[in-house]
Amino acid sequence: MSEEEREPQESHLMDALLRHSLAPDTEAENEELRIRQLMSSLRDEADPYESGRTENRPGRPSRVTWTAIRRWIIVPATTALILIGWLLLPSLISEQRALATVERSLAAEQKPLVRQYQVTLVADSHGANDHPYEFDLFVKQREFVIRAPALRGEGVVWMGGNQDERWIVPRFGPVLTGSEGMLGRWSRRRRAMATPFLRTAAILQRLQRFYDLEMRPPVQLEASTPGGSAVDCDHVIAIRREDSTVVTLPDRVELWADRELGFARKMRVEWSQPAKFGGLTSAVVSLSGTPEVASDFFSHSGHHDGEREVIAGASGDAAVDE
Amino acid sequence: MESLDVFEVLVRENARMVTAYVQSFVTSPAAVDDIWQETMLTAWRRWSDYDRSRPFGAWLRGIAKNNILAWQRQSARAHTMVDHATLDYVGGVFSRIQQLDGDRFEEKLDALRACIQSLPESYRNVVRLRYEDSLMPAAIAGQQGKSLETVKKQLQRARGILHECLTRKLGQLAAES
Repeated sequence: MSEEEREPQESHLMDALLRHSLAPDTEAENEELRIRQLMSSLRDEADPYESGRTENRPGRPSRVTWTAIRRWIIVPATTALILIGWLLLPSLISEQRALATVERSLAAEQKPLVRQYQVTLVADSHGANDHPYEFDLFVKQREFVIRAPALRGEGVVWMGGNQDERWIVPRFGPVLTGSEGMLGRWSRRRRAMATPFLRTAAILQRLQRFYDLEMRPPVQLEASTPGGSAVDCDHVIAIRREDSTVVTLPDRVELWADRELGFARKMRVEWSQPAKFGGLTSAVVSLSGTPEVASDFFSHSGHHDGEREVIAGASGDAAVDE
Repeated sequence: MESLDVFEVLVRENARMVTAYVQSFVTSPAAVDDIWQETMLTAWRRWSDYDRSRPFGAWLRGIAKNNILAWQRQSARAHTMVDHATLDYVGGVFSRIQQLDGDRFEEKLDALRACIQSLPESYRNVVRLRYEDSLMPAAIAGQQGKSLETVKKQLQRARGILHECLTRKLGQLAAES
């Protein structure tokens, strides 16, 4: 590798090492969460009395099985080949079309169009906070903004991110700016609201890698705005592969993608084991509209009057908004 | 001690190192999480293949390397493609770091902290603001009255100096042992 090619890689290496040498506590929190999730998953698998994990999973769409295919192998070769192709082809075509839909949605995420989604989170019904929690999510390419009701009292909290930073504008008090870690720490107290996972692009990327996809017949979704017309959508069901090794992934994802424009109009995400993702059982992300926004909407300055103190590099551990 | 308990102990000893290794190639926090999980779960599923005479950390890095390559192939967002040689080169750096004194990974990075102390003051300041205080470059520029471009260049140059220093120290420590 030439000196020129090596330099960026050396910079990435040093960036990683500097984070661990100068901010080890930040990394420790993330590490502990990963280890707990990992070991919880491994212990669930190892428990011989574990019951109903498969039965609890949301229903799988019907698929061609190898048992059915083997039955036809004893038939004369040419007929067998034709029949195998006939059996396999619809599912292959279905999977290819489903994958194409996901890829088209992901490509649509790159367009500089602001999309507003309503996100509804539902937690384990045995938990204390079992009522749905709703907030608005605005995305444009890699920028995002969340407008969420305050946990106590009236008013909203704004949080978001752009190329330079992540930020939080609480109802009162200083504006916080910092890294993804800051946002993660703050949002974990709000049921995983702002994790990268629930951003549409992150969901779509994972569908490509970790899920079996099936195309369902196209459907019409109701208009997202009053007086608007219904929208034709491609409909994809995604079931997490059994050999998938990322324990926090949802077990089932449904995607409704705009047939004309490509982007996701609605996604429904389900976890069969709420403990794996902060007690959540499902999340629904529905397109509300494509609003025009101010040029500074994806910066914190677009959400306060400029009189507030801005604390850069905040840890997010302060009792913001409470 | 049951296998899973032993595995957990080894995971805890090496978790930070694996994270840092993956972060050397992957910038997205979500992708780092995914690759870390895949690596550890693969390690568990291949637990019976692990040669106990070899360092566990090196074995994990081998699994992580394959997962990073797989992620690159499948991810449209992998801006730069790294090859086996680069992955092995970085793996070698981690191997030398693992041999340093210290129980925990961050303790083994004392050599790097010593290098930071020897940086020119202006570079040392931006490094501390970026990594200790977690300020993004724009915030550092605002605080120090510099342009964003200047701060980015200082960080890049500082990382280059630190890499040379760390490589020298790792070489010296290897020669002494």
